[in-house]
Amino acid sequence: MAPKSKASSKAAPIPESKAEPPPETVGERSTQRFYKTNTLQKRCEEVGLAALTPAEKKTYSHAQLIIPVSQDRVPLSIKAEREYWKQVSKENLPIRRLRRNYDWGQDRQGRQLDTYKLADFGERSLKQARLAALDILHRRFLAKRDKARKEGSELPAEEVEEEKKTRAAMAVLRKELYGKITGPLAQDPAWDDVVPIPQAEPEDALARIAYPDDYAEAVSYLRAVMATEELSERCLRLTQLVINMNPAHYTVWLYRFKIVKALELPILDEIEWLNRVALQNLKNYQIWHHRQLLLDYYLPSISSDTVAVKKLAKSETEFISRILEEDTKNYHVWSYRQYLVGKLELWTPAELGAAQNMIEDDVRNNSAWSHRFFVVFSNPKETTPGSLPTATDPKVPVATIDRELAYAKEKIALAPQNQSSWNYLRGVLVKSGRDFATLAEFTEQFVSGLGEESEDVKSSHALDLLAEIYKAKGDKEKAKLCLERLAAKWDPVREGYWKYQIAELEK
Amino acid sequence: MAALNKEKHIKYWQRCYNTYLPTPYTSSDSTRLMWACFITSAYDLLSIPFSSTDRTKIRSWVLSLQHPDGGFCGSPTHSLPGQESHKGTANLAATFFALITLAIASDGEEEAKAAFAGVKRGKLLRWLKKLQRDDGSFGQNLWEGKPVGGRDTRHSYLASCIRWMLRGHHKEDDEPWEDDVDVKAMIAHLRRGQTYDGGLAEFSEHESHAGYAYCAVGALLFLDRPSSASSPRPEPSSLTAMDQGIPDKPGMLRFLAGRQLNYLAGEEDDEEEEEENFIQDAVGSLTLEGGCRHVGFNGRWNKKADTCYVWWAAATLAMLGSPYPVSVEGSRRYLLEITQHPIGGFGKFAGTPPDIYHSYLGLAVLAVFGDADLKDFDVGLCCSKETTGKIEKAREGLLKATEGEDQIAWASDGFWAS
Ligand SMILES: [Zn+2]
Repeated sequence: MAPKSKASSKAAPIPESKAEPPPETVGERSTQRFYKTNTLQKRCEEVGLAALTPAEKKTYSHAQLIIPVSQDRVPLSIKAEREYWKQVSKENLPIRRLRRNYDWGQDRQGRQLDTYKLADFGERSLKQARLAALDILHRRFLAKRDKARKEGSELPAEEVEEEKKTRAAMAVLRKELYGKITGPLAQDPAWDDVVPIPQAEPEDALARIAYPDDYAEAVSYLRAVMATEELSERCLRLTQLVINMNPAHYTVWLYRFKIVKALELPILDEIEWLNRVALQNLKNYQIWHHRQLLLDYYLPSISSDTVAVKKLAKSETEFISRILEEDTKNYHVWSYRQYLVGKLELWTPAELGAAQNMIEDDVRNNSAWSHRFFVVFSNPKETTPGSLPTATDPKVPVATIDRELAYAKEKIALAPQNQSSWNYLRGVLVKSGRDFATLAEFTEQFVSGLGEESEDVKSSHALDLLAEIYKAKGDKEKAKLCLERLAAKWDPVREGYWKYQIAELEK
Repeated sequence: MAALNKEKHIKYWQRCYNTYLPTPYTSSDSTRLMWACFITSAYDLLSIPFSSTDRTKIRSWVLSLQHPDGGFCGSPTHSLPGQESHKGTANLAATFFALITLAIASDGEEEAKAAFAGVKRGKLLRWLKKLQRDDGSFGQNLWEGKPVGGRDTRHSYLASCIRWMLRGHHKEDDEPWEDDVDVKAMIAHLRRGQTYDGGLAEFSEHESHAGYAYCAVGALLFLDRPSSASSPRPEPSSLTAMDQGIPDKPGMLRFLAGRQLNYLAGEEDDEEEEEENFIQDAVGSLTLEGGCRHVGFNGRWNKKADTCYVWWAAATLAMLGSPYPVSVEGSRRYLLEITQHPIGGFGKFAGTPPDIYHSYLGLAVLAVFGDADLKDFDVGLCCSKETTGKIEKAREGLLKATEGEDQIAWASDGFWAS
């Protein structure tokens, strides 16, 4: 306690701070306020306690004691304490002293709030107030809806729309203020009755994916409605949301199909929707599987209506053609096409023509060649059921065999080094059961002067086939020569394979 | 000659292991177990050790995806917590990758023996049996009690491997017995998949595809494979599943040989049409200067070279006993000079950024080719031979653990299952 003395009446005046510029940030303002409320603190820091005048020292120590004394942490007699406070008021010391380094916390980006400009900080406070106000509106809506439902009614659509706007505004504010994401489903009052089942993953889970904001929410709602087996319009929309982000989700499609069946939705509408999804996800497999399920389900209902079946066949093949225009060798689409031909019995000249057109466009389109083989050699009217593609089928008409051989030869002539047409030729020959030797003359035209100076080979595949032809004829030496020339000159990429064939020859 | 940039690959895989996979992986959220398996298996191949904390973490994450009725779910998206857990959905691929990952996450003999501890073997094998259809094919998951999904050879392969990993070759009077899948029907289904060009597809009516060929051959391989390296080989006189499952073996060998193509570096960049490349237009031009420097592989006839098909085709051939060699040097150069990415990993094509799938299969096939920087590879299970050894021990350990409890397990299982 400072002794009562005359000198105390001449306490050092609080020095005016050198015209400090007004604070720009929250932190600067705090600092300025700290010094303003902690008399002589700044000066003491600048020059050191020892350099203060005795009067300053006294004022400084008085200031330091304000809080301890007020908290009764300094034992003083009643009289002494009264004296002390008198001094304080005389020296005009601020009674409320701010603490130093007040922690304002940080925003969602991890930026310290005290680095905020004052205006921005004001803005932020305003947002917080706005959010609080919106929250009151939101709660009022919930209470009102509860009440209405207890009375067996629903709130008018306008109020629900109003609530959606409230939530959207709240979501924006929450994201801006706290970085919290409120997904579109949580913003939609129509989903209020569903308790989402979020993915509870530990921080160190494997193969974590940086999911887009809405994905985790959509999946958590999907899990919830699939668990309760809800089959409704809103769930149908939810499946679409998930499919858009993860078309390879292996149960959402099955669930969607279940909803379509339960709600008896028009299958053609679903197919229409699927067309759009397929065009956006060319490489996806589930889409085509879903389409198959739809067709398997739909067909029995129209099987007696030949017009409807024809119409379906037309629209399906049209869509397939359209998507094949975008991606001519799309594996899933061709597989679906094969399914469709079997299902709708499209063993027609038109189907054969469709494959043919694609071969005309690109003679190396192996998918189109495969489809042609399927349309010709799986046609139940002209083939033995269950006959393997690698086996002879005596039921195939001679005319068909001849036509296909001629077709393959024509295309080979066009592009002798095309693998697809040679494979096709071999495939047809196996189906026919005819001897490989029957192809000798045709094949030899692509090879001349074998083993001689003038050797010329237009197609390594011809040479490969010739090796087999000569082997079948029993002319091992000639077969060997073909294989040797393939390995050495005409197809060295497969050297290992040709040498293996030579070894097989010797066996 | 370019070499495997081991350091960069290690960095690539460490990134995959330690940080979030980029947002585009969302569309493969359902196969997170596959990514986890590839990532941990790449660590194994590159001999990056896991700490015991890591191993525990991997184990518990994988086991958290187990479905209470058997099998594993593809990702946390497909598995539900607590009371609702039986409403999640297990699938074949996830189950296959889960088992391999559990083995990878074990270190040493003792841990390997316990690697499958916690796997519900009986339930899993019964679930597997339910996934088989009358025609011998397998669905990918059950839906309302029935197998659903395609009938392609991928599912047959996965089922065959899972059966091998968990069931072992037991005779009916052995304990602990589980009803087997219909092996005959399985072979018959695969047999129906060979196409006119010797390749394989889901059905023989579809276009042949090297990936489906690998899966069919792999499925047959595991039907024939002895339980462990030390178990007795089957009678050489008996017809193997491989013999029965491929109607035209020379055709298959031809198809696989046909996957190799002379990759002309430099052409890929200026080619506008993605698929119209690398066709052997000019026969014989391959022997010109620099011919066969790079040998790429495609998955179907007349398609473009792609990193993963080096694996699919070369690995299939290896499973068939490598009757002839592929051009290893040319293929290695293709992988190391063309698709190996400067930041590590492999891209699908020249210049494409690396992704987990191609990066792993690129490493896998280099291991098949005997790359000195990588561990010896089990071409059938697509993991290191060391991991296969652990799987054998894990199976042994699991069978031992099940033996004693069998009675009790059956009583409760039977009751709650009905
Ligand atoms: Zn690929």
